[in-house]
Amino acid sequence: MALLDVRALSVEIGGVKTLQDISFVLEPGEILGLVGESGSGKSLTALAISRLLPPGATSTGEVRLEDRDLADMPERSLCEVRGRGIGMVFQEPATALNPLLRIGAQVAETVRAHRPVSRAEAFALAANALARVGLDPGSISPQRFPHELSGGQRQRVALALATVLAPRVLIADEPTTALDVATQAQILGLLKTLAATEGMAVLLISHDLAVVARFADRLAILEGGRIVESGPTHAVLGAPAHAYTQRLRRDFALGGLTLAPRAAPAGPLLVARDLVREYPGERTGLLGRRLPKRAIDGVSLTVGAGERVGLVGESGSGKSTLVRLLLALDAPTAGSVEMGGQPFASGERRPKRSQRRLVQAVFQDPFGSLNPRFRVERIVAEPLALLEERLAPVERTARVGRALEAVGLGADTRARYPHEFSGGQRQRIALARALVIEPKLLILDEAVSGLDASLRAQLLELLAGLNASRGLGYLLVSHDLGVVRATTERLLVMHAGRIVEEGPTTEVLLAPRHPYTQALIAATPDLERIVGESPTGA
Amino acid sequence: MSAAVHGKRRDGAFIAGALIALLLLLAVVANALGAFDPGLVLNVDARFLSPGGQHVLGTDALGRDVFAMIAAGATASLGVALSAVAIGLLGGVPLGLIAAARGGLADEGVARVNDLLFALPPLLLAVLLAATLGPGVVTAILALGLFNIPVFARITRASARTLLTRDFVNAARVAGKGRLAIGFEHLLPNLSGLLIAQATIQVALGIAAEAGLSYVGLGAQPPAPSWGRMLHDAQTLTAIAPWLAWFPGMALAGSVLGLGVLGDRLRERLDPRTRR
Repeated sequence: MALLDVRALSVEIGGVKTLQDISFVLEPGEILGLVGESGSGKSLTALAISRLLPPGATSTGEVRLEDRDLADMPERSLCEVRGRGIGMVFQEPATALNPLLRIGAQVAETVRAHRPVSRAEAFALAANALARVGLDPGSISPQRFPHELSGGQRQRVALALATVLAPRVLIADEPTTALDVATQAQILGLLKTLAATEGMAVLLISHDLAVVARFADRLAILEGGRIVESGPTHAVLGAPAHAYTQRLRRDFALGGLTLAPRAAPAGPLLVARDLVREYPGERTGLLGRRLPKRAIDGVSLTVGAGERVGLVGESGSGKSTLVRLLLALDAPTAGSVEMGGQPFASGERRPKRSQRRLVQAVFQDPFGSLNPRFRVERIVAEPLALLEERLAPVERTARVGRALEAVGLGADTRARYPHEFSGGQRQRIALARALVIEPKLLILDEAVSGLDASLRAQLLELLAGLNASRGLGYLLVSHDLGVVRATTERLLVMHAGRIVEEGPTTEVLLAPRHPYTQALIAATPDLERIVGESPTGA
Repeated sequence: MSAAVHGKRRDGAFIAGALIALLLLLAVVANALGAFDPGLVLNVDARFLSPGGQHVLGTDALGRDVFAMIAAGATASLGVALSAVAIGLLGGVPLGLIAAARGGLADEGVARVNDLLFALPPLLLAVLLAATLGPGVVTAILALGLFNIPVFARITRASARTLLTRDFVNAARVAGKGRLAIGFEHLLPNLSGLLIAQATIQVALGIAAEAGLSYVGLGAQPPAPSWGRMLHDAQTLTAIAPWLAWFPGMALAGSVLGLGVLGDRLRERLDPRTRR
């Protein structure tokens, strides 16, 4: 008998059917991956199952947990079910915890809310639960507050909270999206262990095909509120039957992307020598000296004209600080940056306009990188101020039009404001702004990280196209090995403020020499490799 | 459903506040045109007339029409409050921007001066200023204006700091924009909503403070009508003519409340963080 049996679950919000006929079963010890792009109804499914839908949403259909129908259960019994029957973990560990409660007390509180145990017993159970998720009381005390933990540790606490009552089913909604690959591998490994040892069933919700490919036993693919395909992971990803799954699979692997053969090597465009960037650190004592903290510790790199270079590293490795130095947004403590053969600003001086014209950038957050008060026309036209002579309005309009066209946006977008666009479209506008003065080099700082697979594929194909047609070189900064593999020919690996490995992308990924690169590659789920392996009865 | 009801209630307060602001402005304009001058003429025969009849709100000890005095008094109240807010904006916004953009010592300096000003009671400074400059409207404006500077410097600094970390500012710098251009093109338009809302609230507070200064004789000097002094004069006459205290008090409370609510609602509406 199935542990969780969802039958014809539909959700309507304001007369619109946002979920339609969702049906699946979860067996004990099984991990079901629920995959879809943003807006496909993944999170809504999770909320509908635990009956936590927002006001105004109505659901129909059956949700049976071990023979009990949750659909017509009173709220009182539902509270009982949530926690003891169904545990939940969400994407953002920082908001799932009470910042004012010590982590041990937080977990103990959950225990006491559901079980008639004494304080001491509750704290003992809490310590056990924390130890089980890898927060050994010996090293990470239950007396700590959430802000004293890293993101990965906080997600472990959230997991301890969700599993302390040994629920039969765990719903994990994008549990590792905010975390590093190494931490992601640990957390998901933990989920897998809990499923195997305690017979807990897991509904793993993710947009990341590689993650579910590695950790889920079965998959359900969600598109527009419907499950379009489901089955064992290997079958679904190895031979997708539905057109949408096929597209998702191709987009995710960036299968439509081809790099133009490299033209004859041209001279270096961007040269960084022995860059160091220090920040004031903590004081050593009340009156002690502030020991400087090195964010960038002696980085040298070169990007040639028309070259396609990748830079990978975890968050906190100094990637973004390095990008700021390379763009002369920040001055290095020591070392120098050259752009087009001349020093690129140092200290308080502003870089020359002729140098600024050579390099443009696209940043990570599509919602933060466009001024909400400007129309698209004005946003895209901004870098035109770098030209020596003022453009006539007609010429200005024409150039903005060409830039928008290059990124696949119509002329009708010019008069609109950023908030009228989706994240993917905003990132295109940001790209159009970077292209409008036809730079020689584009620096993309995690510019495609927040995007769905299909949008990411489109944007990267666009970039490869510009490289082929205009000889635009790029430095692509990413934490995603799949992205740099498909789009770059040379790879730099950054760790703790240093470049620890450098070489042709394929060589570095196939035969990494530095231990950090090896660990990074081992922790990253690789869709092709997983699908390529024969299914083992794990 | 509940959201719609909530929205309606909110709009009611918003409209009420806007109406009061409009009434105040009208009173100032009408006063400038001399509409209330006849009512301000001394006429001892007609003193202490109860509200009603020809004098809707009654007359005072010197036979002046209370309605005309209140309407004309709006000029002093709003004039002082608006000028003080202007001083606060002109002084505080650049200071806040400099503190946010420069950081380090400049930031520290602005913060300490802010703390210093916040620590001094405005009334004390007004007394000090009155002792040197003599009491009057200018003294009131200077005293209140000075205390508006840290208010605007603080909110400008806080908002500008978060705006400066946004990538559109980085993009503008990559596009070669200088500090001044970024300040005017990227920061100010995004701060304007917040500043307008705060300015409205400060006008409300300014009206109350001006009334306080006039009450102790440090604001507008006689014979210029002022709400604070009307309240002061009414104090000894409450047994004979209580309306002399009622109506200016109501005008004062209504204006402060109305503008306060208006500012609050404006902040909610104009600040993108609370708009949705």
